[in-house]
Amino acid sequence: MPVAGIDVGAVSAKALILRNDHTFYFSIEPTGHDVSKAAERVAAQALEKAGCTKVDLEYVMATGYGRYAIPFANETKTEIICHAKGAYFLIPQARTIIDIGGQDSKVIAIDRKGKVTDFVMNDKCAAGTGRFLEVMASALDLDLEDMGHVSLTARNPSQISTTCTVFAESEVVSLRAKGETRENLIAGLHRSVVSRVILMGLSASINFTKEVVFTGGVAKNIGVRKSLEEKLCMQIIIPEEPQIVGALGAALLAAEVSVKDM
Amino acid sequence: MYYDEFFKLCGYKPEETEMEKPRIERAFQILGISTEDIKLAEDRVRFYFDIGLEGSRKLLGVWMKQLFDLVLAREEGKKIIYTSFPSMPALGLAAALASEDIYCQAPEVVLDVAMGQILGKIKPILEEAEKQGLPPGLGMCSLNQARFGAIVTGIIPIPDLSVVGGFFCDQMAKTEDHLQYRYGYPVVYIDQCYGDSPWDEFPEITKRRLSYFGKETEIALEEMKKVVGPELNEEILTIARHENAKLWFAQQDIAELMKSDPAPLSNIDIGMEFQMVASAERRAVYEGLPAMETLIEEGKQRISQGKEKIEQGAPKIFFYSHHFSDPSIMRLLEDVGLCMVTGHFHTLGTQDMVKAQAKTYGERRAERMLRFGFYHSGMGAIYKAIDLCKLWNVEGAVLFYHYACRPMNADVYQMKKEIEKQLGIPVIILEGDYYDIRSYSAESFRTRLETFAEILRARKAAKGKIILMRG
Amino acid sequence: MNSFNKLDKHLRNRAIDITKMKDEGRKVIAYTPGGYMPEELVYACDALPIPVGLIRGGEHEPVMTAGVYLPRWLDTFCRAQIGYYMLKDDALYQMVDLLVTPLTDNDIRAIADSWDYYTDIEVFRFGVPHAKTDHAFDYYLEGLALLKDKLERLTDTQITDEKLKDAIELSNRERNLFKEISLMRKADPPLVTEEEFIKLSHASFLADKKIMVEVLEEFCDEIESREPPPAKGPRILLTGSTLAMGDYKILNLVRETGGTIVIEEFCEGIRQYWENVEIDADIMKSLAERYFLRRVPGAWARPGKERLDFLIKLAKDFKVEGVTWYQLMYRAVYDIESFYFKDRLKKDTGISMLKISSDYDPTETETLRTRIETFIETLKR
Repeated sequence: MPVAGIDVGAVSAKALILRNDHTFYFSIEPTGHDVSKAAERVAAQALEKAGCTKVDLEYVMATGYGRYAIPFANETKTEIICHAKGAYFLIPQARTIIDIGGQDSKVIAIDRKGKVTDFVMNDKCAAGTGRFLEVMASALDLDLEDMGHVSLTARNPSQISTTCTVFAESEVVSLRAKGETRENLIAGLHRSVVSRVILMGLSASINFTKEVVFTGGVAKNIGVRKSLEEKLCMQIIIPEEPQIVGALGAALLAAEVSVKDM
Repeated sequence: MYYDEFFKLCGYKPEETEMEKPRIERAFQILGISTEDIKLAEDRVRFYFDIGLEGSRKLLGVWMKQLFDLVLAREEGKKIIYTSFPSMPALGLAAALASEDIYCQAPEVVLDVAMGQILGKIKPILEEAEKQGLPPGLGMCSLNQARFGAIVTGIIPIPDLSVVGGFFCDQMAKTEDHLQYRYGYPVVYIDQCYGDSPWDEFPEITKRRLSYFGKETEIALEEMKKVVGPELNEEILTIARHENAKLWFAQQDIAELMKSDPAPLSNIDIGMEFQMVASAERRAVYEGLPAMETLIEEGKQRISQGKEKIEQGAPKIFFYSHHFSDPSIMRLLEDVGLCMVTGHFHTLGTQDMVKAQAKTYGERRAERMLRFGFYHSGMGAIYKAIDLCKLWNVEGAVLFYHYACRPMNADVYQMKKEIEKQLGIPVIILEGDYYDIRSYSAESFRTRLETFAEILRARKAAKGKIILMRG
Repeated sequence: MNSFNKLDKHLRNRAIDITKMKDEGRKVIAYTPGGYMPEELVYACDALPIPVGLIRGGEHEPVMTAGVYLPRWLDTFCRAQIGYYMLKDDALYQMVDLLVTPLTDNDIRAIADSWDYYTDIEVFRFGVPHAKTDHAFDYYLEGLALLKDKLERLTDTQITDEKLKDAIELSNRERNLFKEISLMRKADPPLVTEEEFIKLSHASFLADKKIMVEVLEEFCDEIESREPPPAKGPRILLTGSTLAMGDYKILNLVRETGGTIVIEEFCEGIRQYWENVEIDADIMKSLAERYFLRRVPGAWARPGKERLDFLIKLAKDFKVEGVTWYQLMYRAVYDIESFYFKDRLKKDTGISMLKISSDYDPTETETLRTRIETFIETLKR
C-alpha cells in the first residue's frame, strides 16, 4: 500500500507518494496563505501522478512549518528528521546536510547510519534563506530562477556587508546605482547567504564533514552551490530534486511505520 | 469572593482565604489585578500546574503569600532589605529569619514566579522598565527589568537597604546605579573578580579570591546588621545555614524522583520549588519545606503506583535552567517527550558536596558560591555542567541559555563543545530568555526540541532499549 | 608637519621592527584595553606591549568571523578580537606571546575566555575589583605581583626597581605630554584637532616610547608656532567604552557635519594618560596606586558615579556644548548608564547628549550621519 510524505514550508508545499513498487511521484505547489488547502492540493496532484487515491494511502507523514495544520496526516515529524532521512536515502555517504528553504535554513549532521547527531537552524531571520534571494531578485529586476546563471559570469563579486535583508536591499540598490554590475551583485549576495549558513553551522560546532549534501529550493541555484563549494573548499552533492528531500524523508518514515504495523 | 476558587487551587483552606482577605484585596489593588485576571489565572494554574498534588498547591500558595509579603512590606511596617538574584546562600535568609519585622528577599524572583508564571501578568512590568531605563533591543536582562519596572511603577516598596550581588553579573549592579540616581536609598555591593583564575584551575580555589569575596560578604553582612539589629547574630546565621541546607537536600530528593521512568512530576512544579529554594525567605522555611516534603511523598506514591507525569521512555536530559516567568517552555519540554532530570542551578554537583575549608563566615559563604562552578568562572560553569551530566547519567544536554546574560554568552559555545568532546552525548544550544517570553516563545523552540527528542529516542532504540512508538 | 612625518615613518616600519625584535628573542605582550595593565612592567622586562584591539577595531569582517566563537550578545569590540586573530591577516596579532587581560566586566572576560579556549596563545588574567576599597587595592596589588612574576618568567629577566623607575619616568613624560596637548584643546578654537590627537594617542600604543616622546615634544613646539586650526562648529565631548584604531567613523561624521570634538573619554585614551605614577618607596604599590586608585574607572565600576562626575567636570572644563555618547552594541554597563546620564547631564549642566550605537556595520554610516548632523544643528549658536 502506498504511503505519503507531505512537507509544507512557509513558501512551498511538497507531497511525495511512495508506491509499493518503490517508485515515487511528487508535486510542488506554492503554499499561499492556507496551509491545509495547500497540503490537500499538492497531495491530490502527487496522487494523480502516482495513479492512486487518498483512500489507498496506508500512512501519511507530515513535516515542515505547517505540519500541524494538515488534517489528513497520521503523524508529524520535524523537517530536520525528514531531511536527514531523505538525504541519507538518496546519498548514503552524506554526513552533513545543508538545507536552505524559503524561510529557514538548517545544517544537519548525520552519522553513517543516517541518524541525526546534531543540528542547528535559523527560522528567525530572513538573511541566509531563500527569502533573502527572492527580495534581491526583485530589487535587481530578475527572475529568481535566473539568479544562479547570471552570477556565474561575475568577475568580481561585490562585498555585501549588511546582515539584514531589509537593509541589504537598500545597499544593493545603491550599489547598482553606482554602476556595479548585476552579476557581481548577485554573486556577492550568494556569498552572503552562504557565509551566514556556514557561520551558523560552525557556531554550533557542526563541522562540515564530507559528503556535504545541499537540499532545499535554494539548492537549485547553481550560483549558491558554487559559492558553497568555494567557501567549504569541497565538492558538494545536490540531489536531482533538492526541494522534495523533506517530503521523501517523511514518506520513507511513513513506510517504516506502515511496515511495523503489519 | 471571586478569588475563592483560585486560592483553593493554591492550597489555601477556606478559613485561610477568609482571614487573608484584607491582604489579598489590598495587594490586588496595588498590583492592578482584576476579577478577569483571576479568572484567567485559574485557567492558567489548572493548565500548567499539577494541582492534583497537595505539594504543588501548597507551593503555589507559598508564592502568592510571598507576593503579598513583597507588595505590602512597607505598609505592614517591615524593615526591608532587597537582595538581588542570585544572592549569597543563606545570607538573606538569615536576615529574614532574624525577626518577623524584617522582610528580606530578591523581589525580581517573586515577581517572575508569582506575577509571571502564576498570574501571567509580568509583561506590563517589563514594558514599563523598557520605557523608563532598560530599553528593548539592547540585550537588557529581563530579570533586571522585572525588579526595575516594579520599583519605578511603585508596586513594590523602596527598600531600606539593597544588597546587590555583583559577583558575576554586571547588569544588576548597573541597574542599581540607575535606581540610586532616582531614589538614593542605602546600597551595598558584594563584589568579586569573576573568572579571575587560570582556565584549568577549577575545582581548585585560589586563596586570594576567597579572601576578597569573603571580605565583601562580611561588609554586606555588617550593613545588613544596621537594618536588622542585634538579632542578626552568630546563632541566626547558623540556623539560616542549616535551614538552607535542609531546603537544598529536599530539592535533591525531589530531583531524585525524576530518575524514575516514567517520571512522576512535572518540571513546572519542580521549577516552583527550585526558585523558592534559590531565593529562600521565611515562607520557604516554614511553609515551603513542608510543601516540598509533601511533594516528595506524593511523588514516591506515584512511582509505586506506576503513574506517569512525563511519558515512559522519555530521554533524561540536562536542561540548563528552569524558566522563571513562564511555564510554557517547561511544558513544551515534556510535551515533546524529554525529561529534565538535572539542571545547572537546582541539582548539586560533586564540588557542592565538598566540605567548606574556609574559616570565616564570609569566606565560607564565598567558598560555597565558588564551588558552585557557575559563579567561579566560565570554566567552572563548563566543569559543573559536565559533572552534572555524568552524575545524573543524562542522554543529552539542552543548553537553554539566557541570551541577555553576558556571563553565559561568553562560554556557552565552549560548553557545548566540551560536553560533546568529554561525554559524547548530543548537545543543542537553545538561545532564549529566562525571564521573558516575548521574543523567544515556546513555539519557536518546538521544532528544535522535537528534533532533539527524536535524536535521543533513536539513540536509545539503537542501544536496544524498547520504546513505545509515538502516535 | 615634521612631527607627524617622523611618526608616520616610524610607524610604517614598526611591524618590521617588531618582527626583528621578536626574532631577537623579545616577547610580544598583548593586553586588553582599560588601562589596568601597567605597561611599565612590560617595558621593564624588555618586552613589547601591544594592545589588543588598538591595532584593529571598527571593522565588520572580524565581527562576522567571531560569530563562530562567541554569540552575538556581547560587546562588538570584544567579540571582534577573536575574529581578528582567526582571520590571520594581522601579523601583530599572530606574534603575540602572552595575552594579559585585566578582568573588568564580562565582555572583556569574553576576550580572555575565547582566546584561552580557541587559540594556542597563553592568557594571563588578573582581576580588577569594581570598587576602590582598601582590600580591593590589596587584591589588585597582588594581581600586579603575579603579573610581574609571570612576565619575569616569560622573558627570563628580572624586573628590578631601577628598570621600573626608568620605565615609569618615561611613561610619565609621555602622559604629561598627552595631558598638556589635551589641555590645549580647551582653547576656543582648540589648538589641536581631534584627528591629530587621536592619531597621536593611538600611535603611542604601537610606537617606541622614546620616539613617541620626541614626536610629542616636537608637536608641542609646532603648535606654539602655528596658526590654530580654523574655528569650527559646536564643541563636543565624545565618550564611550573603546575607540579602537580603525574605528574613525564617528570622528569623521562629526567633522563632516560641522562639529568639533574637543575631548574624548575612552578607556584607551584619557583614562590612560590623565594621571601619572608617583614613585614612592614601594614601586609596585606606586603602580597600583596610580593604575587602580587615582584614575577614572570604566562604567563597570560599582557604583559608577565617579566616572559620571568626571564626565560632568570634563564637560564644564572644556566648555563643551554637546556630548556624544558612543555606544558599542551590547556593552550593557555603558548602555544602562546612558539612559540616566543624559538626564543628569541636562540637569547639572544644561548640556544636551546624543547617544549613538554601533555594531561596526558599514551600513550604519548614513543613519549615524543623520543623527549626528541633526544633533550638531541643534547645538549651533
